[in-house]
Amino acid sequence: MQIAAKDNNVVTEVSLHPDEVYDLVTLALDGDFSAFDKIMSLYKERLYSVIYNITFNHNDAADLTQETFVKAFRSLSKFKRKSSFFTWIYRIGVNMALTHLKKKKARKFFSFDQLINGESHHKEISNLATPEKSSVKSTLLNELHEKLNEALSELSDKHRTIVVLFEIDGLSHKEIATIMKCTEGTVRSRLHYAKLQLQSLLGDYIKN
Amino acid sequence: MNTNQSKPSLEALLQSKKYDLPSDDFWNVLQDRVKGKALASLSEPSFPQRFIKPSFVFLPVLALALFYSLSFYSDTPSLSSPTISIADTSITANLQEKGSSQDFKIIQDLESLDHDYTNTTSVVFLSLNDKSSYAETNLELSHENSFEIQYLSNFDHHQDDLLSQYTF
Repeated sequence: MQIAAKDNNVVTEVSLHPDEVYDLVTLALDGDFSAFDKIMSLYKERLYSVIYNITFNHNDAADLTQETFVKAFRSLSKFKRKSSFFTWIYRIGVNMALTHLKKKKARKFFSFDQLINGESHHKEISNLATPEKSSVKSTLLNELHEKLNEALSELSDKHRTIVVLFEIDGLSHKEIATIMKCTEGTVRSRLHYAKLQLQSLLGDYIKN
Repeated sequence: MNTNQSKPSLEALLQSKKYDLPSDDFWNVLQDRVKGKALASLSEPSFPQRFIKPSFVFLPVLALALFYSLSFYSDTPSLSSPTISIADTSITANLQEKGSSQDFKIIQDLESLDHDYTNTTSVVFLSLNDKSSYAETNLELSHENSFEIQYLSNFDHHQDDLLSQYTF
């Protein structure tokens, strides 16, 4: 079976050279908000996608993406250019998502139904965030994604984050290690374990 | 076999989630909100700035409070007296520094009783309690600058024994 992919135009490719991104950061630091707007345009979809696949909640993902950009904007002066900008902003986003999940678990609001349905007071953005399932994706793919979400939610937050960053977002082991502040070996090990667990959880739905 | 081939691989299924994104309207709303929040955050004082203005008021007050509390405690004698274990005895003596010549004399008197007393600073015995062998011996020696014996039971009767017990 071929996975029906959505129109490629939807996915924004981060095609700027790192130096160009640094220039945008410098301009944003000088008060040019349009430069920060461009930075946002570059990373918003990937960042949102990562946060959504960690939290499984469109609403939380929308809020956390906003917070990530606001925090990044306020902390631009702290960006020392030791790593790429996207690694820096991803780290902020991933940390916020993981902290959010921890808080949610601590408050015992964490339930699978809530994760999937995303009950919220921000109906407006929630409705916009929910993908149009019937028109774009096949029913089978929807079902597969639901099963995949269920399986991913069985993983620990850190394992799930690594799977999302590597398999869905396509980051390297090194980049993930920088974002997660761990060694590449840990990333590989967690990824291996997580994929084994996913294989066993999705046994009937995927190739052996 | 055929059924298995029609299934996606785990990697393909995961990568298909990359395209599971909201509509364009969502991004416009999101970007507008971020703009609004980011611009609003410009007017908010930064984290260190939140403490700078109040610190102009509170720091002098805090400094004054610290100064007075320190000067108060430096005038009053320390309440916590050092506990010194003396070799070859089971007695723990609470000693408090006083610094009067009378106290020196008392120590000298004690030393004249062939006590191996190692502490050479000016001290006053506050209390000596030993319940190991002399159950009834309650030696309490405390007073401001005087080394006055408050209560001494059986001391006269068992002075020799007591001295042998309290070998300093």
